[in-house]
Amino acid sequence: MATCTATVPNLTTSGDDLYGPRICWQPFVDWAWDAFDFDEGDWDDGFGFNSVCDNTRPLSRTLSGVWCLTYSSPNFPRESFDSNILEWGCRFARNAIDELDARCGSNDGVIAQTRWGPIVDNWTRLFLPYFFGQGVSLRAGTLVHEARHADGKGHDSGNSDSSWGFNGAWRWQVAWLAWFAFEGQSSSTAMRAQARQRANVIINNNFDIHPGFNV
Amino acid sequence: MTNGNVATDTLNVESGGRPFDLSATAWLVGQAVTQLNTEGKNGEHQYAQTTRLLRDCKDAKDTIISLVSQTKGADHPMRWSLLYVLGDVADLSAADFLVDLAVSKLPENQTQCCEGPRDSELLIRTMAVEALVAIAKRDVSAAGHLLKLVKQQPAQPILIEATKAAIALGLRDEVAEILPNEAQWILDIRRVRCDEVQADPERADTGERSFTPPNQAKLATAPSVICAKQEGE
Repeated sequence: MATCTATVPNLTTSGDDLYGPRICWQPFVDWAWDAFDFDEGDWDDGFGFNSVCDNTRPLSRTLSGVWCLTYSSPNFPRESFDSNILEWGCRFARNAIDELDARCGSNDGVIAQTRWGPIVDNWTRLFLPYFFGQGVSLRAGTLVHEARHADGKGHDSGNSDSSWGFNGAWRWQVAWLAWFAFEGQSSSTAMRAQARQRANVIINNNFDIHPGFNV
Repeated sequence: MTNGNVATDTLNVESGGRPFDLSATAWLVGQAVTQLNTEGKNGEHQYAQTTRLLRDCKDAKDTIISLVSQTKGADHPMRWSLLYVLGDVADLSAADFLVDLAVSKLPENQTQCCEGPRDSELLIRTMAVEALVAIAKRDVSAAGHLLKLVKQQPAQPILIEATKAAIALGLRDEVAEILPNEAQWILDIRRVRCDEVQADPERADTGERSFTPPNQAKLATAPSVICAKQEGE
């Protein structure tokens, strides 16, 4: 057990002023709680279980990421795997992630981590930099990345993927961010521009063989 | 559920500061940042008007740079937004600041996990390059600073951003001369739309979607009982 302290960053620039009011809607909270298997014991003690609409708390800020992942496609409520990842990303993530937990995290600034495999307890853990260090659209992208791991696909070259063709977590994150940047609904210029830039940073940094394009 | 009988973590949160209260110009910068983070065409229009006003403020550049410097390290979205505004407001005199920021030292690579502080800092430096491009589009003499940036051989994602930008500003030959042989491949990076950026879900649709999300409240067209009651009171 750890005790940690976080300074809440500006709520406008993180997108929490835009998305926070949207998640403050009981049918959405009820749905997301079950769909991503949140548990009270993982989200109480200051993480927001008792104040789900408080956008200074990790639970609200995580639900904003889930909202962005769920409702940003212009084709919602369609979630067909025949279409692009902006459409089916949430469907995949909620079915792949076994449970979503909040933790303080370590001092090295890791954003999220997923454990998967037979026999062991499977989980996805989100840490302070996930809640307080990145905007809402990037939080949604991280959920896609971790969901790919929860599905059993790790990285095949350290923390990198060997190639675009490996079809790993980095490619999935890039694809979701790129589609969000071009077609994401109900968002701001800042959220879309950050998504495009983050997609390019990943393309240019996290593949052993550069895919040969930027978005 | 992971915790079982094991106690989990406890979090205390503290409020951040009010950086835009420092001066009238800082307040106007705050307005630009707010509009940048607002949904829709109205926000875009108001952002354009606010940055136009800021361009007439003599202390706008220094105020924004001061705000960037004062912003605590973990508040990456704030620093990013300030740099975005700087690109739309400042003149050539901001170019050295942006180059220095773009090439500044990055945290080490993550060893434990996928995403970490280096990724957030790379995003800040990427925005610094894009801010420099925005300035160069208004004052072509700023384009030379992109070449200066390439010469300093920053981390690969920043080198690629600077090279792309230099090419877009018509400096392909100049940047090709500067890039070392092993980095010449960067010149051939294509810019694509999202249609060419697909992930393969490796599964087909079945009847079972599992946990179908609720329709958004705003999509409901029926009148709200609560509003009707308030109107009748």
